[in-house]
Amino acid sequence: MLSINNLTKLYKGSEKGIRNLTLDLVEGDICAFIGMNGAGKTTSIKSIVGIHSFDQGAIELDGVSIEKNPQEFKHMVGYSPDTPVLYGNMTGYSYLELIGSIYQIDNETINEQLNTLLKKLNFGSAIHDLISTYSHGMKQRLVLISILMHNPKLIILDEPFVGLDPNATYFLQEEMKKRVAEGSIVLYSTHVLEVAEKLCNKVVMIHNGEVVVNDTMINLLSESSLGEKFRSITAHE
Amino acid sequence: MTKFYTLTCTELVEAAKEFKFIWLSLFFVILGITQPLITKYMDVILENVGGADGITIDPNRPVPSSAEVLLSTISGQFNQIGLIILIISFMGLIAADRNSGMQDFILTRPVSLRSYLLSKLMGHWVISMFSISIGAVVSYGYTIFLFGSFSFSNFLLFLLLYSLWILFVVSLAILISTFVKSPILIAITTIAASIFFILIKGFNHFLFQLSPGGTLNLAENQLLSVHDSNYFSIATCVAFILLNLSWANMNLKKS
Amino acid sequence: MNTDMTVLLEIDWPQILPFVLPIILFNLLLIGVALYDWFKRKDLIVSPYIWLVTIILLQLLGPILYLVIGRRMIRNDYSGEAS
Repeated sequence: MLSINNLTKLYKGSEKGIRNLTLDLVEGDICAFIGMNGAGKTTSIKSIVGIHSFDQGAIELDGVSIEKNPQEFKHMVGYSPDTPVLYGNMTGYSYLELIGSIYQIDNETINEQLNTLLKKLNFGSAIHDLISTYSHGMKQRLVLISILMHNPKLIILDEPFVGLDPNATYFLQEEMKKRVAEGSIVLYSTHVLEVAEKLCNKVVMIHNGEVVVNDTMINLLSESSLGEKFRSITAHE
Repeated sequence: MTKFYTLTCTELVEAAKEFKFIWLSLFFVILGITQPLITKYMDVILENVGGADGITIDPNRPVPSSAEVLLSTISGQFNQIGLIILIISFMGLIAADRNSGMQDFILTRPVSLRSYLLSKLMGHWVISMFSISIGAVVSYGYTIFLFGSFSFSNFLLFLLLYSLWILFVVSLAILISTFVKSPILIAITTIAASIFFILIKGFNHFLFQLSPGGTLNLAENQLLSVHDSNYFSIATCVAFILLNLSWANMNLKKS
Repeated sequence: MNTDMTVLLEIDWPQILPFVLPIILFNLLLIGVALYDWFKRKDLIVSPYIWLVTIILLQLLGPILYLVIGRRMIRNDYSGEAS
């Protein structure tokens, strides 16, 4: 399970960041991070995956602390940033090989995983082209493959559906459901509330760095829809 | 350790795809052969290319020894314009990774910062020394052809010690790029710091010999066959490199 | 620089040429590499034609500066994005 306790990260010289985020996710959870642009979603996510250090709090996954044991923690995490960043001079395949060797996956497992993932994401022979020739959507799909291939316990996606075609969107939703059924945890930020309502069982809403909603989806939906809730929170700005 | 190896290979393959090995070597070869040729044909050049009417060259001036020519090639060409170009080529080292988000890629993977920094150090050092060695060997060949023989083992020893100096410069560039964001500022600061170290090594005080530039003195002594060298400066240079790296590691951890 | 070209004739060319030739050759090679790379990237980099002039006119420094700096100054924010 993932437990985030009182996570606080404020950028120097500004009020921006995230304050007192406490979140417990167990196996099988899909959690949505919702908030306006600049609310603190990406900051929280970057702290959880280890890009930023944070000011206060603790993050643990299955009892492994990100501060005390960062490598073991990161080994269990798959993270897709909002803009995919890849080595342009590599082919998609050699990029995946690089990832494979970083996570110490043997070549057979890589090829096995790739065969299924590439087919599902309509990659075809493009995997052997240079990454610099890829479109935005293809880069995103490559990142998805790269994080799914090492079977992470915790999957963290920053606005994963932006720029994906309908087929890939469908694939990703199904894959999320499949992975959590197998015991993973998914945490993702999004602006598409309708999808989140159907897909997620937990929801966190962040406004100006404060956590305003931290609940299960069922509880929240019994009061109002996500969209109404979101508008009521952000209305008095 | 395997991750360090993987990252270093990636670094080198990226450089190879940009033909960096080829053009950087070409550059050092040109630097390496220009200096001996100019020294040899200085009188011919001055005589024929005008603008130097007042200058006369003593026809009985001593012909420089091959050691002196090698020294002027290294400290006059490699360690000035060559070093500046090298540092400019380093400036993208960590800053570019950070600006393109590649650093996030590394930070979110189970890779320790130490392996990441070491792979950067190793990768750029290998690229630099590959080019410098080719340039230096060609220069050595030209020099002994034009000015007479010089011990190859001394030359190798020199190259070995010089590579330590380059290792220090790379680690310095890494350290500075964890402080400064703009690539141009990184290059300028690193160049300024390197030149500072080259300058203070000239002072004959033992404290200055312990500065990283001391290794450079040691390297040059190999060419001049000076024997009372201060081999202790190798240790201090290694210590400085480690200091730079751990400092850089600390800075990255905080970000 | 003296522009009087006749001095060039007075140099003892046969004596020097074998030694100077490699310099010229390597320089041309370096310019060649730079031009090849420039041609591949001219639609990507910032102010390509200024770099072209630099490569051709500035002996030694021009091509190397292009290869070290110029080729990395990509127009959009993400280096390596060729589309």
